[in-house]
Amino acid sequence: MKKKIKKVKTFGGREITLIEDESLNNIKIGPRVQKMVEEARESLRKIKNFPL
Amino acid sequence: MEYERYDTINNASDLSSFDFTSVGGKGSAHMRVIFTPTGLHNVFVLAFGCVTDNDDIDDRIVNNNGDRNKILATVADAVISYTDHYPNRLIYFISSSKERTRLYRMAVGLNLEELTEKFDIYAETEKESLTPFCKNMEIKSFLIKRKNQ
Repeated sequence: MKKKIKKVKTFGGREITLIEDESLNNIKIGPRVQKMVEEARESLRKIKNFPL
Repeated sequence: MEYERYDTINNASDLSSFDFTSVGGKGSAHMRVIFTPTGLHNVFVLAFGCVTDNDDIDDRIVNNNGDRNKILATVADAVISYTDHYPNRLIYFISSSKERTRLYRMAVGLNLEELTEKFDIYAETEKESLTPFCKNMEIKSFLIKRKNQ
């Protein structure tokens, strides 16, 4: 299968190459990331001036 | 940011994850940057680290490859690419330890001028409020938003 390749500009006009990879399309969130998401949600709920 | 970066990155079609390989004195390490919805409107968590055997991310592993700045610059590039596509999404970022928070705070502080050309950067303080990030301030986490350009 032909991969989509894209050049994109980042900081200072520097260029990187992004290669679309179908194997990354259905990444399951592991317990470590899940914990971060829960902490983020909890933390944001406590913030007095959020949403900004 | 005049840092080296890994300039070839694999990405999911919807840009929710980016993979690259860290290469250095200790060999190579499979790295991943992932953006995960929080369930709060337009707020996504940024996580990055080494990919583990069970395909999770471990943000506590030190790979000793001597490429810390190169990895951080690559993560910044992933954030640029993601927010190019999703400019209205807020990115929440918290690290795994106080030491790492200090490292990321320093990295952001050193490059604040360039970063703030593209992003509004807020810091979550111990007082449970968000305030525009300034160098050397004590923070718990970052919340960033692409500037409207």
